[in-house]
Amino acid sequence: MTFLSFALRNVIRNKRTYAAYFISSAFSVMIFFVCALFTSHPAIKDGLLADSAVNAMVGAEWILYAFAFLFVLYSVSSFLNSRSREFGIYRMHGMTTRQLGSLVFWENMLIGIAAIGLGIVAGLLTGKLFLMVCSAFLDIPSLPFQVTASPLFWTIGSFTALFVAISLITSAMLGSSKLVDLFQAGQRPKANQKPSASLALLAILLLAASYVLAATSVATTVYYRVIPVVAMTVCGTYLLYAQFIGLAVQRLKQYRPLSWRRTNVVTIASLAHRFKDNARMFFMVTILSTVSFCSVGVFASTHTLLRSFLDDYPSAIAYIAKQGSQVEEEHVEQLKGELASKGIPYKVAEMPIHYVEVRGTSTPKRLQTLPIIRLSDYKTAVELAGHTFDEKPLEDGEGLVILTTQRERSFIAARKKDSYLLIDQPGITIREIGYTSQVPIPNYLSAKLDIELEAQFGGIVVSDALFERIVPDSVDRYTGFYVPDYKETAGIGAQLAKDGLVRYQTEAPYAITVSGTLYEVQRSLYSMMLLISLLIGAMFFLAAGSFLYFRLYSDLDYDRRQYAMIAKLGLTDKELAVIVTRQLAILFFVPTGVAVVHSLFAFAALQTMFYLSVAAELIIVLASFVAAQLAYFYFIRQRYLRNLRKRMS
Amino acid sequence: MALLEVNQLTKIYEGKVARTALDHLHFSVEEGEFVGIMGPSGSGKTTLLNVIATIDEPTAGSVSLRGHDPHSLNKEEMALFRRRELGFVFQQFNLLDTLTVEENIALPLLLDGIPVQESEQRLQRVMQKLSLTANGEQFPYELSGGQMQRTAIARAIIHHPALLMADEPTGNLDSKSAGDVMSLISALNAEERTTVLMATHDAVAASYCSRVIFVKDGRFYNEIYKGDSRQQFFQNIIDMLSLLGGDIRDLSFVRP
Repeated sequence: MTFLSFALRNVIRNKRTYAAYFISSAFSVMIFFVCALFTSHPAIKDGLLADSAVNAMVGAEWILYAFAFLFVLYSVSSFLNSRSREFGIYRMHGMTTRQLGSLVFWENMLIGIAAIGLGIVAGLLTGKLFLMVCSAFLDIPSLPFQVTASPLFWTIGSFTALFVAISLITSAMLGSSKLVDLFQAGQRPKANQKPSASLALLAILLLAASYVLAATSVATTVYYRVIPVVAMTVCGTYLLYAQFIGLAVQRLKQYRPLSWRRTNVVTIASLAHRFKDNARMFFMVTILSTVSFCSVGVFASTHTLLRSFLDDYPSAIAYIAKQGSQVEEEHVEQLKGELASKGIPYKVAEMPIHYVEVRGTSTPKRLQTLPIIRLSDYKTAVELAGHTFDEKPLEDGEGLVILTTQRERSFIAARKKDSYLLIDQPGITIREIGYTSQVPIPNYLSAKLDIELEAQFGGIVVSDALFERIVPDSVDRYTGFYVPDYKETAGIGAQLAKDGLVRYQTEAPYAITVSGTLYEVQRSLYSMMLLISLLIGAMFFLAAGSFLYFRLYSDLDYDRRQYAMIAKLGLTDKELAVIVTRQLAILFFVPTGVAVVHSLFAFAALQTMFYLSVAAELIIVLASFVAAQLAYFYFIRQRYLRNLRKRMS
Repeated sequence: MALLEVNQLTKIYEGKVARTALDHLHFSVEEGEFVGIMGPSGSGKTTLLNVIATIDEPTAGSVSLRGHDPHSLNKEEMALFRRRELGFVFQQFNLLDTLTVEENIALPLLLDGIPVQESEQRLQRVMQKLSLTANGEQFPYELSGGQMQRTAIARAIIHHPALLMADEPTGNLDSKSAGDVMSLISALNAEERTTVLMATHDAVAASYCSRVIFVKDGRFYNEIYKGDSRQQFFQNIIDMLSLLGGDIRDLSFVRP
């Protein structure tokens, strides 16, 4: 028997332990491969999709790769831990550390190579499907299935490197342990770990604090709170499992009316017995699930941004000619021509935007350029966009702050209303008395009112009389084209703006948004993000499942012996099923439950960043994850019970 | 009527070569008796206990405990039968190492849904009797072999079983602990009238019995009763064993 065949046999005979790990690895290879297949597809390379979307996908691939590295490393080292006794026996019979290292190296490499093979084959089989899903998701023409050398090369190359690196790391880790440690590992139950009450309390405090912070955050504070809240939640979660649950189980154990009720005694004892081992695994699974719930939730809810698209882009084409522009007439005529040639009926609204130097009166008293527009122009723009105009007439010296996107509404509460003194025309002041109810000019075309705030608002609407009195320092002209269905404008003005957008803050003498094109670009970007988050979410979720599976099978032998002993004393099949189901349910649903609660609070914070409610999307996301977990639970329970019964009789 | 009747019991293990573990074995045990089963390794002692305990099924013949055949029960009823009617003591102790001593002992009561208060009372009584009171909170791995076996015995008798079955209860113990355990079982038998059926190949342990049945190749070979002297009984057992052709190394003591 050669060394290689020895390694091969070890792997094949332990196939059940390695199954979930193997499948998760193969799955990450597959995802990596199909993503590479997509991004390196000739049609995509020719610019079928906006660059930002393709870059997002490439970024996701490397995140996936980094995660796969950590996942494989963690899994392999826990496998090795569970085999300490076996290694002890090898060493005792004279296997050198070097030989043991090379045994472990080859075992890992065999699994790695098989996972790469399976991943690539599965990728080839599902590649066409994936391309179809992608094109349907992103609304691009379907891509012909073709495999070029580069994705194959990248996938095989990078994952071979990954497995070699990890095999080397783990086989190097082996040498250090003493023979006696290897033998005693796992023999003694670890019942004597005493959880500390103060750390358990700390866990609850940390979690409560981060929940409160998340739930009470508003649009302006959410950015500052993200990092401390995440850090506190992670620490709190670890302590919750390592200390609080241990303590709770101990207390529960002492309360005999409950802990001595029939089979509870076995369930609770084994919980208490393994809580430290479980803590680490529960923690990993919770964090992985939370990340996967949140990422899918975030990107599922970005789609609601599209629902408010029409509110944020009231005119199908918005054009701004900056002061002194020579090209305005030419451009406007060109746009009119394009609209006419496509047979799209349109209405035009024009308005001047005046800029004046002002000094704010609230602290800090800063100098700034204030954009102002006429109330009657605002009214025209609003009515052409199909909204009803409901602002009260403005008195002299009053002004309404312009929203540049409905999202800014969330920031109103945190913003202090300001007043402005005109520098060159003393005696004229403009006092903010409120906010416009609609968006007259899209965000991308607005000069900004507040520079330092997250939401910047767009200037001031003043009464017509005041507008005429103020002598502007410079003048821009806004032209809006209003059409019945803005989606038809896709592709118009392509020479002026490639992806439907030229921002105000550029050197060009104009700025423009074309809603149709912009909508397509944004939708494909959001869809791409959602697709990616689904892939990564699935990957994380599968990894979490694989940790659970491993825990289960590494303890199977021990549990089987325990159950067999009880069965001799008289345990009915039904009672066995009850004990096992309860134990599995704890394993499967405690981490998922905590992850769901974490995610709910994260989503509450997320909601503050959206103008529309994202609850529906988030509920769907959470419900589908929980459903998947339930299905996994029943599948595993079925197999586990059958396995136990078979081996016990 | 006898408490336990073993009636022409036969067990054949199928396989490439069929092996007869029990061959028309026939005997009975009266209420309150302390019966030892002896025989060389492979003579079918453990198989016999397993079949009586419904852990294994007989190929032919029947077992009857208080007039009922436990093998006519369904699987669920069998589990309940073992739980209520039988007590087990094993060579390997078979304690659950996640449970404390108290929990291990109380397990048969807990599984049966006996109220906690009553369980606790019975637990206290049993622990006192077996001098385990100080060890209640400990886990099995913290105990000595003798303590472990006493815990196992406590667990086996806490629910007042009809029959206490012991399979090599002294096999894993040193001679001092073995003596203690045997005195204990013998005292239980004398004071509580617990019926005991014990398989062993330790002649010293067997000498605590009131009767020893010898089995060879799954067949009934002979039986001897204890007379007035345990010493004499022990010698008779030794003589019988050498007649049986048992391995001489099994004998722990030979009179000069």
